[in-house]
Amino acid sequence: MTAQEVVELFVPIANLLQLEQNGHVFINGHRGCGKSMMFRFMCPDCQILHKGGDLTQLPYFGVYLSIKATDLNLPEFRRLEGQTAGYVLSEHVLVNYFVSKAFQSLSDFFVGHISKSDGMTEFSNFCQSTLFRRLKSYGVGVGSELLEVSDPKTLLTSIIEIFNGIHRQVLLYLKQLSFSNTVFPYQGPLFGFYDLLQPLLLGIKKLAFMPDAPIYLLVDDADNLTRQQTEVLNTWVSYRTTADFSLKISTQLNYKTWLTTTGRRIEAPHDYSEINISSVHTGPIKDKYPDWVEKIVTKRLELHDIHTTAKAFFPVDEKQEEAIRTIAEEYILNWQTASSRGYRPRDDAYRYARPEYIKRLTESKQGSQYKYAGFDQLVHISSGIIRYFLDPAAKMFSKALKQSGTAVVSEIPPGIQDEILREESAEILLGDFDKLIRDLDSNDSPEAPELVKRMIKLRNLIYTVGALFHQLLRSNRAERRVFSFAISDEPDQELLEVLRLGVEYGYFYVSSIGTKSGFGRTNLFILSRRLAPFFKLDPTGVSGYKFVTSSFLVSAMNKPVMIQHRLRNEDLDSIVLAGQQGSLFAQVDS
Amino acid sequence: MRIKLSQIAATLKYPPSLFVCAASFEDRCKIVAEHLDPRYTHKVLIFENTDYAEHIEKNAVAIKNHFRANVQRVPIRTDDPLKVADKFRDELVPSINETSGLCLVDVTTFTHEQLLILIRLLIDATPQADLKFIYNHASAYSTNTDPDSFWLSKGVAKIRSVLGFPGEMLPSRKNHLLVLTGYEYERAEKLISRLEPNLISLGLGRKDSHGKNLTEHERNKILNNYLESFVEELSVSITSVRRFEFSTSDPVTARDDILRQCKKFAPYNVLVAPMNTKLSTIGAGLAAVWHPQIQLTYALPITYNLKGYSVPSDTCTLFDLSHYLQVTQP
Repeated sequence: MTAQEVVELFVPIANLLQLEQNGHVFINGHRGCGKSMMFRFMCPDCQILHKGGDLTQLPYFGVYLSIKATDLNLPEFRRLEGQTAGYVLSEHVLVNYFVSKAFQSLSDFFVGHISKSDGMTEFSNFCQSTLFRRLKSYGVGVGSELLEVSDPKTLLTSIIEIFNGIHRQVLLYLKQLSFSNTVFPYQGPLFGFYDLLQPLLLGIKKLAFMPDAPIYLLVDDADNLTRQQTEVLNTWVSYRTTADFSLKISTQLNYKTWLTTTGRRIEAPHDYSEINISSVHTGPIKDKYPDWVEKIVTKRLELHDIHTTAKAFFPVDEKQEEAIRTIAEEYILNWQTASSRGYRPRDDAYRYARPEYIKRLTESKQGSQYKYAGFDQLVHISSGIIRYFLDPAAKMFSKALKQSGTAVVSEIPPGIQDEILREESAEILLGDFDKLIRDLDSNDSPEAPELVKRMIKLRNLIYTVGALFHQLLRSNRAERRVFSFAISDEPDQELLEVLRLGVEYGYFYVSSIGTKSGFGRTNLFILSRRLAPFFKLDPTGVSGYKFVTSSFLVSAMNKPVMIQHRLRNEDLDSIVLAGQQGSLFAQVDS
Repeated sequence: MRIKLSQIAATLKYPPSLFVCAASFEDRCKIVAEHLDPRYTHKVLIFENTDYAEHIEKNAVAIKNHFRANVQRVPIRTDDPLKVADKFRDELVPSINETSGLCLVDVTTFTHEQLLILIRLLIDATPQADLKFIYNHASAYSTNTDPDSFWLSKGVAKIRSVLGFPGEMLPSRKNHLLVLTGYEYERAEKLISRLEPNLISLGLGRKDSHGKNLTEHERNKILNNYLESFVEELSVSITSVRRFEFSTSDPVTARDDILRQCKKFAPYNVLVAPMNTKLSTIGAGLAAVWHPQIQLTYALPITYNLKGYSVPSDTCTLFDLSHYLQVTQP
């Protein structure tokens, strides 16, 4: 994306303010939640467009480092696992990579400034006194012609090529290790944090054409580092460097370790602060996610010359909403006759009307007619991940365009919204992978490869949990809109592995609540609202949670058909709590 | 050289002293073995992916029973390329070097990654033996499904570079991903999603000059169009999607097709993901040997269509790896 496109499309969110403060930050979230976009927005070109002014006035200098799956995590590095040499080489590789990216940023954004006034003289002096001197101390040859270069772009290109050459040396060494049964020494230079990265960054920061502000190293997708590289990065996080530069590190919830190279664990908030943007921020008004989505949608509509609000563009099904309002009126009336349980009539109306509508449709065997439509529902279903809003919205737009037969779409019909959301929901569970699982002979085929077995158990768990939540919606309980569960006892390793897989694949999100005993906290597993259409659940608003025992979940994994049958025909608490005290529903922001 | 199974013996002139293969859930893994006279084969190495142990046992035993004498079953894993490399280094290369006669390697049911690792190792080890490769073509794929439910593998467990082909991923350059697409568009889709290259070249297998593969070519074209739509929707960071054709039957031509496409867009970090025939994968390996800046990339699937992956045909391709390396450079 160009800087112009980023600035036009990006809507700053509350988390950005935290990222822009000094200090190391980990920002964790599933693919598509907007982490990379935030980092890109923090680059100098976008900041200038957004804030105006000059590069020298930037509040920070963001250096973007995107780590792709096969950039630095090469299988050859495994030859050095468990060896000190592996850590040393990992540090060298990371320093080389980061320094190269820093000079790339200077080349991309600051050439004009370096060319002005004494900029080139100062930069040239910095290169000679700091960069080249240090490189020579490593035995890295720096051609004398570089000392005479007067053009900043040429000088920066040459510097970047030096670091490219050093990276090539590492790659050559790794290739030699590929099939070796011994580890032989690396003969090239070995850079370190304190002897190269830190002094170079400090030197760059002091240059007159640079903003008088810290440097932020924006490390995107750090899950793609090897374990040793991750430990090195964590070691850097543990250093007290934040006055001059900070690490902003994004992960996709698959970060390999929080340990440093010395075995110490980095901790929040002591060493870093943490932002988790993959949580279900779609609940109460006070939450900012729905507003954020609305702003993004409004911006994008305007760019396409569609002058309408987000809510008007994604209208509700009026007939359905009218029916729900009617039910709400019924509840208000019931309150007036003192047969309800809420504190205020609006509480009951709010809590019961939509689930009651879905329940009535289901019981009349018209459950499929509930329309998942309307901007608010789309926001809730996206489960806090902007991509899960934008991708279906794009499909809806294409379909509406095709159906309209004109080049103009002023709104997405509720029928199309519902159709696409149901397709997406079904695809998550009934996609090719589910077909695979059905091909296997049994739900727990002993012959299936290990990962497949775990996926089967996960699928069973999701189906059963979804069925439980649907049964709760159809019940007459105080809280029928349930989207999450917590485990009341100690889960075994296998269950934890399956749940972890569920989080990794985005079927569940993790938060925390107080334990049943009242001491400490426990994990809350929140079902992705993207599955609401599949399980005929109400995705809107605040929802409750249910404590369940690990034995229920294990049965769900291994005997889903039996458990789902029991859920339909027996008392729910007797199944999910297995002798423990029953259901106290609590209202949580989810 | 394309030959019929029945012609293997006559074409080889003398039986192999060493036979190497990979046991698999596919029956293609044993079809070549079954056409060799076991009396003259002194040693057999059967590589077995133990992460699919239960599914390959029957065919592994069948191959073992066919040869009877001096059969070694060598454990490897699809999810452990270092183990594969070590076993190739410690078991296969010494066996080749000890063999005075013909060494025949049936590459049909090694994974694409394992095949590339094998090629890399053999190029570096430069064994002096008379070494030939053989590949049995499939007469059909996904035989247990409707045409609309065609599948060969599901999911992507991991994406990694191929051991020995790290390429040259320089931090100052953008990434150009070439995908030699085949039937497995889902895997290709996930690969593209996770790598998020700046430039994509989608490769379509060229119609085979033998007049076969017409259906496969048309099927590939439909899947390629699907993949292209997906890529266009996917990401604003991908500047463009290009298309090119490559040979599915001749490694040297495939090599040249790949290198030609790479040269069109410089300078980029180049990643090549071979996901079509094994012969075109060898071509990708040759391309990366000629140009070590090319990284070969592999997407490990979560699982395969174990019950209906393929059916053997009566046709094989027999080739000499050293011949490919001696062919004039592109």
